[in-house]
Amino acid sequence: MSVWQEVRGLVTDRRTRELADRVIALGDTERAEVAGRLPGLLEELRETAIRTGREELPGDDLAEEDEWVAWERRMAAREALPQFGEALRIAGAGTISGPAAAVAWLTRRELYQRWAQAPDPAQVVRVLAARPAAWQADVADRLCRKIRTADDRVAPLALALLRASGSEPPAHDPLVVAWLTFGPRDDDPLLGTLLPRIFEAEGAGRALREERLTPSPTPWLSLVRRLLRGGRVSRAELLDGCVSRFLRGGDAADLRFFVRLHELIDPAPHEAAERARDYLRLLPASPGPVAELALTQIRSTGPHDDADVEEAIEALTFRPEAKLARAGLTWLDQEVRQEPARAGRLAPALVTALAHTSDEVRRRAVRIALRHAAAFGADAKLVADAVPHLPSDLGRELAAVFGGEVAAEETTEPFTPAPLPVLPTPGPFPAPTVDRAPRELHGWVPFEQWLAGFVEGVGRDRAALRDRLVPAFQSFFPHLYGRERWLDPDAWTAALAKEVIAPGTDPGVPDPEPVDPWAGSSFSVHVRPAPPEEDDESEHEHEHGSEDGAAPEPAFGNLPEHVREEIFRQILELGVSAERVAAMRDGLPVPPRDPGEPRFRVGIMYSGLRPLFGKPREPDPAVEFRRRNRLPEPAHVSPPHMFLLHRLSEIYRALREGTLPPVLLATPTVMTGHLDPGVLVDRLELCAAAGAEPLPADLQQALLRLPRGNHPLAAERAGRVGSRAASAVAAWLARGGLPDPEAGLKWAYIEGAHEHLFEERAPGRVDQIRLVPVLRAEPTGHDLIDELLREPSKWRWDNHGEVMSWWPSILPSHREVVSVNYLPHLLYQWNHPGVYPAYLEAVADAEGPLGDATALIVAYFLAERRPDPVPLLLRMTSRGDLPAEAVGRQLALLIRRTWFETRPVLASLREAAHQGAHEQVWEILRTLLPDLLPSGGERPNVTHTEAVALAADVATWAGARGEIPVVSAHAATGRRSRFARECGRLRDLLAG
Amino acid sequence: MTNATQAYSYAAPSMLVDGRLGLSTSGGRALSGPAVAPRFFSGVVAQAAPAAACLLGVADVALTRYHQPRPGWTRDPVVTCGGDRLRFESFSACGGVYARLDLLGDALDGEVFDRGTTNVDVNGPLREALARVGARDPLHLGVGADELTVTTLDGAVVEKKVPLPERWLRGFAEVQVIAARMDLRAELPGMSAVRFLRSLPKRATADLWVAPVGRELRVADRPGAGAVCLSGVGRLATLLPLLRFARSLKVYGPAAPDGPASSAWELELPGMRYTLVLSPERWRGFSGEGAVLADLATDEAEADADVVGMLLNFEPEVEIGLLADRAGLSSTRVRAALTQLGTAGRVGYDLSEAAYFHRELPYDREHVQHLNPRLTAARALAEAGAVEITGATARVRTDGGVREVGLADGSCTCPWWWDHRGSRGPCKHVLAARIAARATTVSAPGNGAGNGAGNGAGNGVETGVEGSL
Repeated sequence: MSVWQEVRGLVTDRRTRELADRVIALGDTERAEVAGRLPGLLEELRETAIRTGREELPGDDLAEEDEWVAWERRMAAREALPQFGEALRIAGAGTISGPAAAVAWLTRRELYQRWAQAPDPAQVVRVLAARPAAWQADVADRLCRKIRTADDRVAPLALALLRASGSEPPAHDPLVVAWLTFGPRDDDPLLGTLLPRIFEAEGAGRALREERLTPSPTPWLSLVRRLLRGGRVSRAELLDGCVSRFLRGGDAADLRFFVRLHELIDPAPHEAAERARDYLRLLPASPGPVAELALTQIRSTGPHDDADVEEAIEALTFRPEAKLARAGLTWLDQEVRQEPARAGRLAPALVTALAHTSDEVRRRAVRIALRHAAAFGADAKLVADAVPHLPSDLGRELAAVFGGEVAAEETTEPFTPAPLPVLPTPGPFPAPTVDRAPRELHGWVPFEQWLAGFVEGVGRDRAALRDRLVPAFQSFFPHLYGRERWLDPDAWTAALAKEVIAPGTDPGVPDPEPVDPWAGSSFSVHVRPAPPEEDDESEHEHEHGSEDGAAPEPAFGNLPEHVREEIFRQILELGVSAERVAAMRDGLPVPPRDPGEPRFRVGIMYSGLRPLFGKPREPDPAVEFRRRNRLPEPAHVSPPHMFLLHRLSEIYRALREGTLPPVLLATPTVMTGHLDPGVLVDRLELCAAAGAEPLPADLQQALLRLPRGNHPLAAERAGRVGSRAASAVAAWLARGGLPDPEAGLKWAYIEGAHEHLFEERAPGRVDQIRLVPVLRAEPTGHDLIDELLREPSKWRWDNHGEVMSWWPSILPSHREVVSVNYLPHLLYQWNHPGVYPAYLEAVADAEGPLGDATALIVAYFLAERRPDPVPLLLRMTSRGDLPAEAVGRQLALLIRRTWFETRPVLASLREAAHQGAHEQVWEILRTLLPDLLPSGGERPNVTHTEAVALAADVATWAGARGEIPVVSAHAATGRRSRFARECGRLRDLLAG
Repeated sequence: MTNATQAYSYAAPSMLVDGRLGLSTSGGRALSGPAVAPRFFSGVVAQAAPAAACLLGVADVALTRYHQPRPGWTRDPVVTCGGDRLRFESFSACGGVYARLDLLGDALDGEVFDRGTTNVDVNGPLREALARVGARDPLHLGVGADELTVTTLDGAVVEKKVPLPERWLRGFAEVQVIAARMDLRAELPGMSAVRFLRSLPKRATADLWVAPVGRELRVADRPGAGAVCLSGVGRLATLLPLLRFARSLKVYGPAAPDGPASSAWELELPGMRYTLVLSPERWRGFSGEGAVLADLATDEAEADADVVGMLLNFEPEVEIGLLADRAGLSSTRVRAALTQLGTAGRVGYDLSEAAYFHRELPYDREHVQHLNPRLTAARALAEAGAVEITGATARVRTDGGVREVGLADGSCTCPWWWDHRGSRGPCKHVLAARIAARATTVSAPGNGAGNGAGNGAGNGVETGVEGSL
């Protein structure tokens, strides 16, 4: 066997260790031969992989063109080749003569498993280490430069080779980052060269940002600590490294590791003193933690040159962090106490602090200025010049001593609310017409118009109607009848129009194909011998039972044939006589058991939809009716949508059966969706005159569209019409319409896989928020209205949430029911139908009480801010029925329980207040604040302060009175924070 | 087109030793012509601390990839000596942030050897040394090799080779033209500027709008009157260390944008200005904005640009009137020519002076020119006779089907237009149609005016009519 044959065999068998030994032992000419033939082998392996892929994913001629199939094949080949990766790399590492070519071979991407960890490089490195030293160094250098990311697949090989060959690592930042990422090793020969480079390499700090000292040092820091204790690294070098890394800049995350390393080194005062100038220059602009560390070091050394002290204090009082600015002021205070003559030179730093964003820093600066007022001398002018930038109370204090112009009181922000929009009363509903193209029928108004026009047209002159429909509908919805369910109102208009254009075109819904009742089921059969102790009466009883005179039935007769076959096969296998088994199978009398025959027990594991025993269930006639009429199952769509579909389907049915009344009852007379009771009675009379009975769903929609309240005149007229529908209307009117259902919501959350109500159990972890709609209505005796008023599902799926903009027109007198139906669609809108302010504007224009559901939707818009919620709020304010208190309550819950933040809410409220809704905004804030402000152990934060400040502004504008206890309590804590002061301001305002 | 590479070769690393800052130069152009290591300036910088901090800021922008930060190739800052001032420019690796430091005459006291533009080396030790510069330290600045660098160094040559992606280069050039279309939206005095910049959200990816309210700037989450778009607050990070020197902050933006738009942020410091220009969205570079294509599509712009380009002389401020006189062109044509020069990287725009300045990006000129593939494609379409003009519309035949172009509103039926609706400039079909429309106008002067007026709006037609006179 030739050398090549041998190597080739080892590669294809993937015997890597033997291959490595063999390659190391090769002579020069053999090396050249192997190296020369490797590319051919790779090509061969690649072709095999592609061919295998093709066999595994066969395709016809068509699939040959399919790019997905082609892609899958490429993927299959790409998965197959890396199996030989390590072996090929070993062969190449030992034979290829040019370093560049060797590196190209070792890093070939197709030879590495994608998405997998880098392979163990041990064997490859063993082979590489047997090559000449200079060659190794060159290869190591080139390999290192190939590293691009921290978890590069080349990195372990490059690092291992560096360690094995002892060559100098090239200056390449990603190499350092990769070295850090693969974790520390105590005896690493690379420590000496690479450790100093962590201070320079881009990305090193970021790779180590999770390293920490407490509770116990993490790997790298603990390694450095061991090295420091063992004296194996120089403190000075590490310290210089840290300081120069700080000077080079970077954000807090990049520098975090070095701050901790610096903490670990813990420089002695003399070490800090040597670098005092560097620490000083770190004060003004480095990230907070670095500046703090620099300050500690500067304060630990001393004494300092006066100019340095001034520079440090000036840098500190300019820092945005209140902590550092306070430290600067403290230092300034000390210096001026010791040497009052320097006050003038330090005045600029004090002035900087007077302009600080932190109120506390400003106050402290004012106190220091007052304390040393005498020392400033001529530089008092500088301080006086800063007075106008201070809030008026502080400004006055300072001006009393230093002079200067106090800023005007800020609180008197002139407030002139914009006038509220004047909303026109909703206009009359437009006259019926069918002259609309299908694409113009979006939205409920044109749709109802068309529907009314259509029904009238059918009654009046069908031929004329046909002529008007043909141009628009002839070729509309070509695949209409192929659809099983018509969910889209468009489908129904198309069906209606087509029925008029070409009566009887609808072939109807075909009977379902007979299906195998066992489709999709799975069985597993296991027959085992019954234990002998069960040799008791039960079986005898059974046997007796079978002899009871009734003809025996085939055993397991209702199971699928293949399952039966399997059962009998296993029984036979147990040793039961073939004769008895055949009798069981065919339902013949079974011969008695031979004493030698085993008893057996049949176990069947089954999963499937149909009950294992007994007959399949008969289809529900209601389900069958819906199927025939292309209606969806009620659970699959939202209740208002289902109600609409019932109406459309009955019109279609009546059209086909020729029982369509001359007019639809439910067509609104007002743009809100309301129906004038007098007009309804007119229509009833029209139907009665034509001898036609109105359609039930149409009647029920008409009832729901009646305005709220009593309409005795109409009731009395309806009572005289005499039809069944008219008496239903009369009864409905006599009762005063639909009593308001109990409507609202409950807040629930998902934790683990369980749903809990907030009111029942305090949440540990909240995985998801769920709004549980609450809707309870008395039965009305009208089936479709009762179905409409069922409680909506708290989940949405399938086709829930369609035609949501139509819903307010279905229930114009009970708008809270509409809001309750919107709830499941409110949160988590991504990739789902969502609720928009425009829908709620229709709710605002409708009638009926408003409650928590509407309030929550308004609150959601206020917090979401896109699209702009203010017009909606103004509209509801202008209509005079914004449930402001409920909105405030729901806003607080939304902020406390979900991901919404306070600031956008405040921004929305401020805008609304400016635009004239200030009184309502005050109501909202009044109920929002008690739940929003910190309670228990919470600390007030800046958004709390902003909320109180907004409340105080709005309270001024609205002239509000009446104490809010929570605010008073916060005001009375005696703290000097801005939060406490704003609470005080609000409290005083409310006290009048 | 494959990406070019840029090779830097410095005689020595830039360094700062004993208060003497020696910046090494590589390549570029001086008044005297192309240079290998030009020497521009040597002298004292009066404001050491702010100058050092600003230089660090410029270097930081060059180093950073603001969108999806990760280490990678970075390109050295570019310095232009315009006689009385030095301008340091850099462009972020993501192609979305442009930074410039203008060291003005007041801050410089020294000798100018030549005018021109070149690359300067920035390295780790130099950054460290710059961070150490305090207000009381003297700072001597030398741009280009001088005695100091030659004598103190052991002659260690610095060579760097980085890829020069076309989109990066195009963005660097085009940002000037985009800046030229901005106006001053707000100006804040020192302390207000500090308060405002510190009050911005800490989340670096926050996108917001900034609008002047009284004497303050207020943050909003949607566009409004006079608002300036600020996408990716973190991209202003280099302003923060400079705040302690800031005298004022000026904010520039294009007129009334209703969607994401570019913005410019200029800090006025003692004797210098530091300007950042941000792309409309943090993931979007400046290239591909197409802002300039309408100007470029005119045929004479290219010829005019050659004429105007010869008259620039590394002037720190280009006066359009003066140029127009000297070149014998109308000021409209000079503007179009300057746009052309801007996209070729041959002029920059100074917002504070509202004037172009001459500088030639020190990259291979062949790459800098002909950087507009959309325009190239449009010319090809026009030349191939794919455009058929009928009244106010045109039909452009492409491989993907026939596109209908509305000449008046510059609309098109192509998917690209559907996606961007003009927010990134005209598509190639519109450009091609305009080129073709102009050609018919020019070739038939008799009915040219009527045709032009009927055909549409914009620069194209205006210059087209001029051409026929």
